[in-house]
Amino acid sequence: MSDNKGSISILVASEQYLSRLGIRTILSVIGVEGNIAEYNSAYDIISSKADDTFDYRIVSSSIYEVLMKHSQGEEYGDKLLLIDESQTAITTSKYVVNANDERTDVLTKFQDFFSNTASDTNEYSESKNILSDREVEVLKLVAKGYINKEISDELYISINTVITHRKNITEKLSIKTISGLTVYAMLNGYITAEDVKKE
Amino acid sequence: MNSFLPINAKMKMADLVHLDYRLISVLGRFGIEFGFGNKTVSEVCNDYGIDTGFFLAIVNSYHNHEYFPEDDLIAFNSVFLVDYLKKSHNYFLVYKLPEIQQCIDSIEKESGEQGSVSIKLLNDFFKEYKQELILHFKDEEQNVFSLLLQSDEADVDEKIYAASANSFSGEHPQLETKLSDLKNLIIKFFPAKLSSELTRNLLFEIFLLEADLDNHSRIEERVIAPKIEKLKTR
Repeated sequence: MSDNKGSISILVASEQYLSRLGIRTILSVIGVEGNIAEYNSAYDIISSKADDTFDYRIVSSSIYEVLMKHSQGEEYGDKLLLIDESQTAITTSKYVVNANDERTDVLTKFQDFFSNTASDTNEYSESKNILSDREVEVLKLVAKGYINKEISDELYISINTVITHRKNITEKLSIKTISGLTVYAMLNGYITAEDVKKE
Repeated sequence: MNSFLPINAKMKMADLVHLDYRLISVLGRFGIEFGFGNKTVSEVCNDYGIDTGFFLAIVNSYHNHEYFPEDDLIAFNSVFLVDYLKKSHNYFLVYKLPEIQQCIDSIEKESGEQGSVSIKLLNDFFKEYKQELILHFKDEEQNVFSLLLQSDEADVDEKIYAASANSFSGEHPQLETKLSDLKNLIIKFFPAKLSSELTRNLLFEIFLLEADLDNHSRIEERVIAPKIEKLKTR
């Protein structure tokens, strides 16, 4: 489920101490808490080899340029907030704070950065049909009281595939019990009450 | 008043309710009635013949999830613990479950033809959960609590150990999952046309029940279970 209680990790990279301090202050102002790791050079980031482990990265444009030269940083995507000191930086990141931005702009950009990234990770939010066709087939049989072996025989798929489908169904619906899944299947008209296997 | 400080014996009982209104249900379980004026926690406890230390351990663990005086609680007499847990069971059976049932019944009544299938399904799901919970309580009282009380003389450790393991580590997670499913069925998949103030009430009640049960299970799992463990190794 999505209520992840583990704290987020944030990389803050800038050559300037004042800049790093400013970023920390803004994070606390907008109420973002997490493990913050500060770096003052691109080489420290590269040599630390901890780069992949961060949930969010806030990086100055000069450090980002060096990272790019070492073919690092391209894959940051939405997880990167660039602090553009010289207003010349070229980046694909959606999130850029300019050196001459005013307080409200900066705060808004920081907030967007953290909230948008969070909602992007919810890959199912867009789709109207929550389950795929195949998952619906598996759900129907689960709701009718079939066990994994029976589902595997019925749909000509391996037991492991059945288990994977069931795991995905449970994750997407946030419903874990068989009777809960049965109610969901009936609410959506996938099965009728008569379909439910009697014990 | 700093709400993170533990509740203490010199505090006024009235302040305790102002501090955390969820403790109202805990007071009920101890049989403490309102109208306690300016009496302190220990004075009210004395009036009702309740062990103040035990009362404080329970309300503090409820008030602050981080605070759980496991060692203190284990040291308390089994009679106190069992009495409190049985009263909790009773509170769920006599008040909470019927309240939620009533909520669902009202929604069903209001929903008319078009929504009746959905709400019926939900009602059946809740009834199934309720039955399991009632059985679980009964089983705990008969096979775990009563044996724990007798255990000073009788040599019943193996039996009680198996029963408590089944009850705590087996049934608790199952019941919790079911309640969580019920919440999600309503929050995520309940037909929008059936949503009303009644549905919102229902959801509130379910969340409160969940928090109450969570605290209750915590005492069973972290206080009763170690007590039984001790008996086993004795």
